[in-house]
Amino acid sequence: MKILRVSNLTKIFAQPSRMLTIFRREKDFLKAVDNVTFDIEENEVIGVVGESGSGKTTLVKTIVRLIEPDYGKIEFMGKDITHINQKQLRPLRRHFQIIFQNPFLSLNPTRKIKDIIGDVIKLHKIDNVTVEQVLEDVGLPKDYIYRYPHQLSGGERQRVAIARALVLRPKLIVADEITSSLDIVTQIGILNLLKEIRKRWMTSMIFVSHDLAVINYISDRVLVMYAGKVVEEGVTREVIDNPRHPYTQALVDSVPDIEGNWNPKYSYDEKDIVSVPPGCKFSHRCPFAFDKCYKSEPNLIQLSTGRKVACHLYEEGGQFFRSG
Amino acid sequence: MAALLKVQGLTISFQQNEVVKNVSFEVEQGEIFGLVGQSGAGKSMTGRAIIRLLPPTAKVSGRIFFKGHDLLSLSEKEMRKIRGNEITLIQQDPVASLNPVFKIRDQITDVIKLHLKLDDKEAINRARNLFTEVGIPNPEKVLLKYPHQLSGGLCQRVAIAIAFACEPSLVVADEPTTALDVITQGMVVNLMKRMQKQFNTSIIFITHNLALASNICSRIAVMNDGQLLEVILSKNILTGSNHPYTRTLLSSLLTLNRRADAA
Repeated sequence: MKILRVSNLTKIFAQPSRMLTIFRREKDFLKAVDNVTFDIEENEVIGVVGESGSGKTTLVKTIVRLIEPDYGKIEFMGKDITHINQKQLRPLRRHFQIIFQNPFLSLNPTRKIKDIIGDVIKLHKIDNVTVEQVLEDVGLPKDYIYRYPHQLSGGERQRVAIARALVLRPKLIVADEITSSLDIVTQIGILNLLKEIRKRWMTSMIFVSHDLAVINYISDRVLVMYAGKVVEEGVTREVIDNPRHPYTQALVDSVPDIEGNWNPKYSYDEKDIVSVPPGCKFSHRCPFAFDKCYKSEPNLIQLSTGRKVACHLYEEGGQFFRSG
Repeated sequence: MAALLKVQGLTISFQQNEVVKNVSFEVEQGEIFGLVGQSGAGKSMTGRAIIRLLPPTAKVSGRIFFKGHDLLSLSEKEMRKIRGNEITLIQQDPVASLNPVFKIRDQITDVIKLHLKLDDKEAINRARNLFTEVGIPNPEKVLLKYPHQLSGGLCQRVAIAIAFACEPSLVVADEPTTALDVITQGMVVNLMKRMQKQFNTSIIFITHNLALASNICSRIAVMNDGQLLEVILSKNILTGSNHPYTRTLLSSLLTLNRRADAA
């Protein structure tokens, strides 16, 4: 069963340079999320990867309706939630929960763990789970309920944030860079916890990260984002073993491996994402770019089953085009 | 080669709490030396002790020899001649390590003017050259900006330029890439390696990522809970260590495990 179906989702932000709408020109708008389409099956984990500013966070926040979408459609368990009002949305929220990047900011510092999680239980009238139970589920001692967030370490705080989402037994957990502020030993603990949650409750997940190694560890499928667009989509293992889009190749290159033959090669241009060129948004950084790339924007095309890429190189006439 | 830096029995404590316990190691001239461990292992405190930037409540004992002088016995006045000049620091959060109320130009030229005794014009020239060196596009424009107007990767480039401004002998790099995304991380690491070669600087590279350390350092010191557990050659990292904690670090490391046949 499809848990979530996102079609043509677009979010446009106005650049602050021109606040008055009538004076705005085309380039004063930033497409943070540009025509994104994908879906998630039950118990599937989707990874979203890309560099800072590529629109990963905006995408997932729009999906859980913390940011209002401009165009497109979000269907959650067959129900269109794109434009329903907050009152209709609230009872559905228990089925999709988001966990944020910074556990120092996402937990209220003036309240005890008991209240932080207890509020959620009260609001959604949950009667089969207690705060102590859910703390145990995420691997924290029961007596933590009387603690304040500042008394916990970063990893423990992130576990509390997971517990707050988990207490509702959601169908979908959206995890937005939840391990990027943790060191690697703590990180692996959190990732294993998520894997266990997925197995135990058949939860689906959207896992956002800029680190392909993390995505590789946790996700089944991956969406590679660049400048608001999905540039490559496929089974995580296949995408990493055989990256098609030049940007995905750069991402794969940039993960250090332990054997010490790491050699990230990349040209750098500061204006990278915000001032997008016409044509393919990646063209000015792409080592393979040819004339077509500077003129028209590539669409996401199907390469093989489940594998999609948005790159002219794989279209007819492109360097890597293979017919049939 | 003679050791540039010799740390002997360094112990740092806050009240009754020992955060660094009897740590000793040596860093050679022109070497990149890794300090690896989890958060709270005492890596940063060790780094900050070397550049003498610990909070005033810290109690420090032991000795830190830099070019034969014990840094811990120097007066603050003498230390100031060394700090920012011969020993410099690159911090984790590039946006926070720059002063938000001054333009980039003032922040880099202050260092140059103070230590190299150059006048305004020469200092700006030197800053411009350094910016070109670290690959900042449009150095002229960036000089006139404030830190908040630049991206994280660009701020870190500025911080690196400032750290290398006076051609230091030793750079303490405290998790310089942790706040950056992977692509920017690759660029910053390449840049630091290049600068290190060019000036034959020694770098103490502090990180929690063993894979990153093994790629850029010649030797790696593994720290946990304030203690230095072992110093190991990077090329032996996979096979040469029997220490259980190093094994833990290795096993929590995530890599891509790419297959060799991948195109």
